[in-house]
Amino acid sequence: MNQNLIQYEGRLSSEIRVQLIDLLNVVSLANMGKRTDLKKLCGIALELLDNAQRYCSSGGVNFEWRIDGTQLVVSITNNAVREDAERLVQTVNDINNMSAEQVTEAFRAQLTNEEFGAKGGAGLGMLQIAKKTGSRLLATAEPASANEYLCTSQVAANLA
Amino acid sequence: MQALIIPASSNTPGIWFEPGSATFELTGNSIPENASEFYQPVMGWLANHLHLLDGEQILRIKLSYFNSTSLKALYMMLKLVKDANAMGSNMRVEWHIEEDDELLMETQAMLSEMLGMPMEVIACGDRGAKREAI
Repeated sequence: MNQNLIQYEGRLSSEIRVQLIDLLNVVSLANMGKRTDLKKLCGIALELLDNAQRYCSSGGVNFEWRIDGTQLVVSITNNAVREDAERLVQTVNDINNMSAEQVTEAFRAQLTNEEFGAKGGAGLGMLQIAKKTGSRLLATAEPASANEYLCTSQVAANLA
Repeated sequence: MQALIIPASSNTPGIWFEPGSATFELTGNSIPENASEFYQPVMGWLANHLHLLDGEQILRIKLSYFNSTSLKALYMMLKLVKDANAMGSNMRVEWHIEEDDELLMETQAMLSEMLGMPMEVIACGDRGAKREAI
């Protein structure tokens, strides 16, 4: 069964991000009973939305929250400058090559370094998702123009 | 000593640091896109005032939802409190968490363990609040 629960295409602002999370809470409540699962899945969506808003270089985003068989799939696509696009893909590749223990270790090291990036990122989002879901992340970056890449980040989490 | 009061918004928590009350609160959701910017004045206030507070103080955290950048800011805030306590301040941390919120319980326990800092968990639920020592 492939069921698209939420799709949003357009500009991403703080207010829209909050509204999307509220909407996800409502939709998820109707689809799953356990609070922990709901919070975990909304947390994944929030981190992806945070990243997209922080690094989106132009235009809008395409955000999807769908059920695919026994998995909940969250994905987001946005434009980003080359440096940010390459860092996203590199970060996700690095995390996918880590064991669960290494993810936890990297998460703790990043949490305690007391540094924020130039755009306010903490470097924890993707590690947090990997830590919470234990599943592989997906990130791709395709050239969109001379200076921009079309980035897609996707996470699939097993539904309890 | 000046108070620091920041009203809650849809994506930032309410901050109530009023020295006269001996109780300092963070309430609501913390999902700003730039937590570093939002928490800068909060950390500045703590760094400048913690050592001036007399007697026992309570830092009450009532955050139901926060993103990972806010988590890092919270870690840095709690570290300031821990360091001030090591220098003679007396600020106790109370963390209010709903009974079935396992994720938040795990996060609080992780921070407590990483900082080597005891925190009191107040488990809240429909049947009222109960205290749980960590």
